[in-house]
Amino acid sequence: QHLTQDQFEELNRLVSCRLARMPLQYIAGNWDFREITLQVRPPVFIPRPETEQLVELVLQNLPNENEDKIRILEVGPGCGNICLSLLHERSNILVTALERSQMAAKLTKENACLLNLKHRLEVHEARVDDTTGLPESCSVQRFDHFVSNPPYVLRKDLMSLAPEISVFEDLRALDGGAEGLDVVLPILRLAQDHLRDGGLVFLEVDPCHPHILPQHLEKSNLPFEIREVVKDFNDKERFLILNKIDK
Amino acid sequence: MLTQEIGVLVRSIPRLSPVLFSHKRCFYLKGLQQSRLLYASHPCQTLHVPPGLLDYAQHKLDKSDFNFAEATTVENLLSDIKSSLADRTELQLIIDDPDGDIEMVKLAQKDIESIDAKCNSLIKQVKEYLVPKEKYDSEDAVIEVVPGAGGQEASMFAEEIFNMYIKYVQDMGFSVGAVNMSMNSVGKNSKFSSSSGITRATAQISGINVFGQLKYETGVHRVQRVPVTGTKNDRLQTSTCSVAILPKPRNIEINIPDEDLKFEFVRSSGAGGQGVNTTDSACRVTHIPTGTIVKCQEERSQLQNKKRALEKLHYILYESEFNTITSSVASSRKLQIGNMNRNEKIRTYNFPRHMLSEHRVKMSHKFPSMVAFLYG
Repeated sequence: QHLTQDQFEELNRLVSCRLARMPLQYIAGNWDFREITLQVRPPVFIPRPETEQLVELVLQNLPNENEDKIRILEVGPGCGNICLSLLHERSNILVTALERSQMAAKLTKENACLLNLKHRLEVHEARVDDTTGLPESCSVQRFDHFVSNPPYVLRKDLMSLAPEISVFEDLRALDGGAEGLDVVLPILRLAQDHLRDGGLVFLEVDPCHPHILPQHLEKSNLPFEIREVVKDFNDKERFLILNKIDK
Repeated sequence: MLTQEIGVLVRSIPRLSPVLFSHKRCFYLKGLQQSRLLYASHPCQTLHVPPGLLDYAQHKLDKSDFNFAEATTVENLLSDIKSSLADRTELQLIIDDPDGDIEMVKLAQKDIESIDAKCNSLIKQVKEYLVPKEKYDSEDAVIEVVPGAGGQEASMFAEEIFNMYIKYVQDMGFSVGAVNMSMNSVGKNSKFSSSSGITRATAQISGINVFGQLKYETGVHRVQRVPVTGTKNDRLQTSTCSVAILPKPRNIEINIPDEDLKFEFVRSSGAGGQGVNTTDSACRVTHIPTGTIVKCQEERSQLQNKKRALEKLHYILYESEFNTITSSVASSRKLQIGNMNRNEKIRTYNFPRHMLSEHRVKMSHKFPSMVAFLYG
């Protein structure tokens, strides 16, 4: 089957994009994540396959599908892959998402509309750090669980990223600071006040974090302990499940 | 009706099935029949509950070894037996009571007799449910009729036998599908139909317990009649056709427990995670017991690739299971039919004498309208 002139020109254009190291997902404009298809565009962070397992972990730790609503807070939805997967696969989940990037927040809302899930999702443009806390505009102030794929790349590793990532993706979605915990710790601080007792925090992290996080928790006086460390498909320690402890 | 007459003969075969392949069993059956007669004539049947029978039945119920309909029946039988036994013990107390009224004792004895008879029959029914069914009995079947020795006459006879079976099977309440008849293109027509016989005919028969009901039809059927091709010589001719009934497994269940699987995904360099962008989420799954490896990389999400790979694996295992069954079935077909010689017959249809002889149980039956039956 031969290409028409228009198709050929378009293909040329796309190939040039790829030669310029544009990620394939941005060229395609959309990509699949678990069972849904999401619109992706630069510079919003492209979902990684590991994160599919994070969603699996959350689902495994929820009670069997029943009438009770489960309220989840997500920090940094990006294009909305985690929250929209959860909403798609379980009908009794409600998600509040906090996103610092205007473009990412817009994309998440767009994907929610396309997937018909926007009535169970609330997106707020907000930063999570020590000063702000939970925006007052959130309709839910207490959550059953927290989930996040926060920026966790260590500053030193940021230098050696491939051009696909460093040129096209928003580095704020990757940069975790010197130890990669610049966003993780504020999330836990937020959870201290807004996670109900017995609730869990699900995080995707760098493989070094299971080892260095406990001493940081100690130092910052955060009442959390690591309940479980789960390896990803590359056998790296990628996921943490934390719970509150009584102090 | 005629259908019923031959049907009776054909259907009686299964009940005598233990006899079919062994003379010793023949004697046993005769003995059993004798003892049954003896049993029936004796007015007082003592209750005999085989030890452990009721516990075993309960155990099977708990293990859900029965399908729904059977389970309900067995449950009812068991509860009937239990209540009858309870009544019996009470009556026994009355009988054993030394101060009891003689009239009461007599009544109690009579009641016990009737309870015993009832219990015996209930126990017999339970036993029937406990005997394990033969492997393919509940499956659908494929019937295959092939003419054997005897030339065109055999082809015609084969066609008649095939048509007879189709109607018989429909009478029994089964449904027939995928009828495939390869007709003879040359040759003279018979007096009864416009065709000149078949070279091979198959049909799929579906219903409940089809194979179990039809399996005794397999073998070589022999006919002795004046050929219907209407040639001048009126010699009695013997021809054969073979009938093969093969089980068609409907539901091959493939259970793949998680421990038998090993998943492998495309590895990314370094620490992976956020630091790497990859579009390859290919999944390779290995089924450890059989060593089957399936890879899937068509989908864009890792989860979908994993699901796809598992589906492919499931299909491959299903196919291999199906092939195993059909190859064992094919070898059984060979066993069933042998070489289709005239002396390997299981049944002879003798038209001039209107007789049907079943060779396996050595019975002969006179059917005045056998010819009419064969033509429906």
